[in-house]
Amino acid sequence: MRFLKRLSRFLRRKKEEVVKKKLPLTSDPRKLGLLLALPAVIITVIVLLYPLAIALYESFFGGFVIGRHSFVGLENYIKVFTDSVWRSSIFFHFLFFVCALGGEVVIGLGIALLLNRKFLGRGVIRTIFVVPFMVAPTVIALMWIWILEPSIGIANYILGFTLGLQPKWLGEVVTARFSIIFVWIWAKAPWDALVFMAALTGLPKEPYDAAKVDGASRWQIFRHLTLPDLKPAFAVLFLLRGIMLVREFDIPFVLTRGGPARSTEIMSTWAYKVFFKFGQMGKGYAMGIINTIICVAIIAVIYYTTRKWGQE
Amino acid sequence: MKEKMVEEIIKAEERKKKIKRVSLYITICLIAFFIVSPVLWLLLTSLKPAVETYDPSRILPSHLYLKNYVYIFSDKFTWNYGWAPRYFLNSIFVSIATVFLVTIIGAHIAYALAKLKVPFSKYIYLGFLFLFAVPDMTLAMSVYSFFADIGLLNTLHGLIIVLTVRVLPFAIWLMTTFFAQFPIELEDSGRIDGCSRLGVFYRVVLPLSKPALVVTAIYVFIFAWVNLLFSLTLITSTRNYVLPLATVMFVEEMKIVWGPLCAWGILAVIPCVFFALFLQKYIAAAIIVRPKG
Repeated sequence: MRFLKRLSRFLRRKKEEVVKKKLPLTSDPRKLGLLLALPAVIITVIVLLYPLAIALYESFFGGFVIGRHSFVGLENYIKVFTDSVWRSSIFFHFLFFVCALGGEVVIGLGIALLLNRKFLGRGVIRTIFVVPFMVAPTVIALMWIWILEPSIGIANYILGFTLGLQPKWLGEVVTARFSIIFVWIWAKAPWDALVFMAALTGLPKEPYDAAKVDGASRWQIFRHLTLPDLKPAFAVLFLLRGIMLVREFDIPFVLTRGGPARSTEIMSTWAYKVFFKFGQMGKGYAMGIINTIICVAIIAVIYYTTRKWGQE
Repeated sequence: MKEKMVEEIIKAEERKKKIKRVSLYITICLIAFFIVSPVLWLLLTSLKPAVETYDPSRILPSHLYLKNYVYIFSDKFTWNYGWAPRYFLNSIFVSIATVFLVTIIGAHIAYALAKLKVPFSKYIYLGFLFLFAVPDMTLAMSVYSFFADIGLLNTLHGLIIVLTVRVLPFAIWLMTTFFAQFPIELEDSGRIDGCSRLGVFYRVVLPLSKPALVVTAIYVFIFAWVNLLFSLTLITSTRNYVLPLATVMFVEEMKIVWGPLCAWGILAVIPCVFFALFLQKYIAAAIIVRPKG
């Protein structure tokens, strides 16, 4: 009892001390923290949140870019949902997302496992692997347009005398979609491989040696030791690459411009066309808002599923 | 008898090891070739005259044909497509300015979130992360009319501001991760030596965080250099075009003339590759910093 009384007196006195001390601005960590964080928050609010709020507001109004304004309620949203090209763009974007993310992570991991031993020229490999990451996606798309040119591109030339196939890569629906996914994986897998290689070299060796002594097969070691050890790397990659993929624009846009008969439109390319090319502002804003909700939802799912992985 | 058997077993083991080694190197070469070959092909095509570009069986150019590159800087090209160096200069300006802004603003808020007890810091951090997930196109649409109203529409400065805001969450994420691991003993020793709280940031933490700042700067530079979407939507006159946008314009208009087009591609790639070679060590450090985030 007495101890509790003493404790409460002690705490009360401490509280008075803290309240009485008026710390100067740059010494109080909390105030200083807010001050330092202020520029970032201000600029984000002005350039990101405010325009988004405008977009939300304007999405309830009709009219073209140079037309007149009139409140139309949810009509723009209905227009978006009934737009078959929009639905197909969501479908292909989802397909692209799953295939490209899965492909790049799997191939990156495969390469990293293959190269997870000592060899000469490690630095050279690192430099080479970083190259696709540094080259602009625009130029990457340019490269692959040239390679996949049906009549004079080198891809069809090689395919021609080996397999006798001459597909119109970017001119047909299936091959165009495949090409976009392929080019993305080509561009991003090497960097993922580097991330995995760095993660693999940081792993402790004892569990692996112990497992080998105990007679575990390579597959068992991979499944029960390697994969769980790599969870942080997976978490980072899925989150970052996921965000990059939902926001993607450059590669599909330059490669196919929306593709043969609009089959390779993704969220961003179709929204671009609706708003900037066709001038349908209201519908464009509505599409933008809906796409934002979808993207944030996907990223939220990825974030919350991989949060535990990163805390190993 | 036994010794012979043991010898043979040892020899077989060594042969296996050699085969494994050789196949490892072959695999490495194949992978490296697969990654580098498109860029190589771009380079080779840029060195061919038009006639040779139409013949895919010709892998190597017959001679070093530099006229494609000369053409890009010639008057005829400038008449049709604008003065080429201008696009490079615009890109350099935009990228460096973005790096500047993002690093300065981002470092402050990252330090605040990591070390100072900012109220709601976790929510601010998450907020930035989800803002980072907002698709670019929505932002471009909304910023388009906003900038049109305040006169920032066709300007490089507007582009810089938008790019800064777009990549800020990423820079914050990188730097917060780093600052959170910064040893508090160093900060405390700075305070004991008489620094104010803010002084600790400028005099102790920042100078010792150079690797993290450089890594962030590299990522932001690449992001700004390479970005197409915002320049496509917010820049309307060719005077203000940046490199990726100019590349898209050339792809559209130069369609069949592959020689100069590939030459332009190589020119656009050279700064990035140069960057990669020059800053390879930092990039390697970057990749190691990240997985622990």
